[in-house]
Amino acid sequence: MLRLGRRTFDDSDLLVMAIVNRTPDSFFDRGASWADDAAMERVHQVVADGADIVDIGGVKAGPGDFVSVEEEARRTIPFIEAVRSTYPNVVISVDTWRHEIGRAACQAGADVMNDAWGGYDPRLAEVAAEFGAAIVCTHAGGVVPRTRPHRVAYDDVVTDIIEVTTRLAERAVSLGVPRESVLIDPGHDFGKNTWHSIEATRRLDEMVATGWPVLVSTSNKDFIGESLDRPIPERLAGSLSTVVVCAWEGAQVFRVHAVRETRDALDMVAVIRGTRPPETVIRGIA
Amino acid sequence: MLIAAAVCPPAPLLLPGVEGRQRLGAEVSSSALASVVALVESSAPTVVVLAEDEGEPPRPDQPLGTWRYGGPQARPESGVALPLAFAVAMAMLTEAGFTGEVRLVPLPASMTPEHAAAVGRELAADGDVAVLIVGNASACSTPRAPGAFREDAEEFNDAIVHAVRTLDPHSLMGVSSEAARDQLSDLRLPLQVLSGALDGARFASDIHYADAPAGVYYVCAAIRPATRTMT
Repeated sequence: MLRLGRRTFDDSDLLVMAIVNRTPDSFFDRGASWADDAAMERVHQVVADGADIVDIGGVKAGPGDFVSVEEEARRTIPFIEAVRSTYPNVVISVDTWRHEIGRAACQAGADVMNDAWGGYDPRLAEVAAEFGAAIVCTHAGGVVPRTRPHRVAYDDVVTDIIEVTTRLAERAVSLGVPRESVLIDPGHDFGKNTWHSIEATRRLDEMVATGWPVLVSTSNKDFIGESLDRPIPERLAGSLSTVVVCAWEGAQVFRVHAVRETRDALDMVAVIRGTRPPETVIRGIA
Repeated sequence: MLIAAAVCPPAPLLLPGVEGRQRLGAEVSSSALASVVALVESSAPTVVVLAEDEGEPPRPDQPLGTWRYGGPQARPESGVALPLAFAVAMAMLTEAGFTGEVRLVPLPASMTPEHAAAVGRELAADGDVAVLIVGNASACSTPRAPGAFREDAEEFNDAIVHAVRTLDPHSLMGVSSEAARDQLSDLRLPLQVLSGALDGARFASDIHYADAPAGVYYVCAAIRPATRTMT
């Protein structure tokens, strides 16, 4: 069982986490949901498209203008309150490495701390424990938030991913986060070159074998662009391919931009796996 | 006595099998190899590889460690991979056909310019040697650079290229440690060792490549005594 704040899910459920950026400069949407109205419209759309989780972030992952704690809070916290008010049962995640934001987000109604920078602020896990929130423990190669990988090297990238994420997960549990509310994330592109992210994808089953639920965030990332030589707007097919492969290997949560397409892809995986019946079966049996 | 020198970047893309199918670094790779081939053709019996690195000098027979960057080399059951810059140097020297002695000299970041120059003078006094410098200029040269973009990257890169092109002692010795750190550059110390090794001798530089195709500014150059004909 996976518990994300107020909601619980079966181990066989494949969950879509929809990216909602409260940023003017994120790499994919370039500020499309920067304005309050546009952001709420994005939430309406992703919920209608089948999102299980809404992941709200106020700082772009890549290098850019400095965003203070106050500014990050201004971008995210009132919006989280608004989403919680509108959708009492949707799971809300906050994409942050800062414990101050995590605390305010929990008070505003967030269920999940999406710590994409791998425990850079160790107090974020303490906040999750305090509020009974879930936490995502990510492998980021030990880099400082908002930096790009530069000649990173691993003797075995998957071994490093598993060591780091499971250590963060055990620490979260030791602090009081419910075990069923801790996820691990290989951190595609974070502290990794394209070969590393590809290997993390190919060997994702080794992460799954740890027993911790696995979240993957591959949507439109550079390792897909480099693999296919596709610019950012043309990475949907590559992104969906990674979702399907990771789902088949046992990942459970998928952080994406394209919610409807991902929902369809995951439902198809579930049908093939046998954990979900087809919607209709009439062909050849009439 | 210093016989020749060369400069090439410590980019993982120069290791065999690490690049993708399109070989975006093909020009860098061929330019780096041309620089190292010129070094090998100097017939120096010993090549001293200079790179900023901490720790004890590694051995040339250590594995390149391409698997650490996603390359095809299988991870051995034992043995420690060479640090990146020395791995690139060994890959280049092997491809260039060098069969003589190789000495790998790590230069710790705490080394002062004066100390570096003294190391260079000692090297040049220790028989006939060629020096292979492995380092890059600014890793903050474009908006997509790994170190993010810095407005002052171009000025820093120009200063590096000028130093390598002219081999002017003041330019080689004048690379600031603070600027190099800010720019994620690891060329300062090797260039200052080179300055000491030149010790006023007349050498000329042939720059084969100077650009930042992926945000990191690479310089590939062959350095020979000025009295010899440049190719």
